[in-house]
Amino acid sequence: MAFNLLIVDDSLPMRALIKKIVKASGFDVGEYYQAGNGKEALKILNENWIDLVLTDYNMPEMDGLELLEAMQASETLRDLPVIIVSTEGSEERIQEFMEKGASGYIKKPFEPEEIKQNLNQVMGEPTNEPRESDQSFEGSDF
Amino acid sequence: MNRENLIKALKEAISEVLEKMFFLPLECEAGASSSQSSGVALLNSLVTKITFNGSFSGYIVFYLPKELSYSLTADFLGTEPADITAEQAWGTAREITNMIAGNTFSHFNSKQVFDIGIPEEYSGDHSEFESDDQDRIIRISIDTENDHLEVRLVLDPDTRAETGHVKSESETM
Repeated sequence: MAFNLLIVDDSLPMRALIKKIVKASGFDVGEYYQAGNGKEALKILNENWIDLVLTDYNMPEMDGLELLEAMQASETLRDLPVIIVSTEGSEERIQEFMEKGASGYIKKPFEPEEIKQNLNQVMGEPTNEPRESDQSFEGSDF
Repeated sequence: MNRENLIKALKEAISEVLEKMFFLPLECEAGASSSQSSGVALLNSLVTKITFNGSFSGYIVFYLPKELSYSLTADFLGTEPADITAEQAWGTAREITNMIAGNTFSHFNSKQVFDIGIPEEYSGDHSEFESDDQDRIIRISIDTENDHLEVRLVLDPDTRAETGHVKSESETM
């Protein structure tokens, strides 16, 4: 069954890259939503059906941790899986993400395989074959 | 704060970000980058700045050649450089700066928390990080096959290195 994905990052190129990797991975995504910060993300979450959130940590207006906290405080959003995609690498901060309810963590820079593995763990194996037309980065690292 | 460890962490972060995420092989060059050609390259660069705060504080400045930024952004978006807007190119420069900063402090000490600011476009005075204050400024020159990039890490005035006075702060990758 297709799932709806929300990508949250203040970098447009990064959002485009993540979308590209997920599309090429064979996951059955129905709709892609994008937000530039946690505040925009909350608006999208409250207005649309989202099944998974991939979010950066360091963003203006509302960062990834604040977004996590806001989602945990909401009855309708608290069980939604959230994967943090961030440059943040301190052990203490990563632990804080997980304690605040994150389902996974991916450190930037990342290889496409890391996105796929995290999605596999959270959403299960993809049901579709990876799309050849979207594999324009095959053989490259990101 | 050990200056040599910080230089090492910064170099590792730059390599990791540019080679892993952007597939840009880096070349090592002997000597500091003080040539006129590198000066010209910097004039045609997008300059971004990001602050950091932790057990020591300061900021990082990143010079990314404009043409390279458009090319990298086009690769990300699966289009041609001619289709890229200035805002998109700046977005890539900011994101690289963000990743360099985050990874520098992860490599430096993963047990310490450093608060990284939001990367921003910088169009102000460069004199502070162009100065010869060797105790406060770390300069990393990066040469790819076709381009010259630079990173400057500037420590706040109240930060003191554990190592003694450094003869030359310029390091080349």
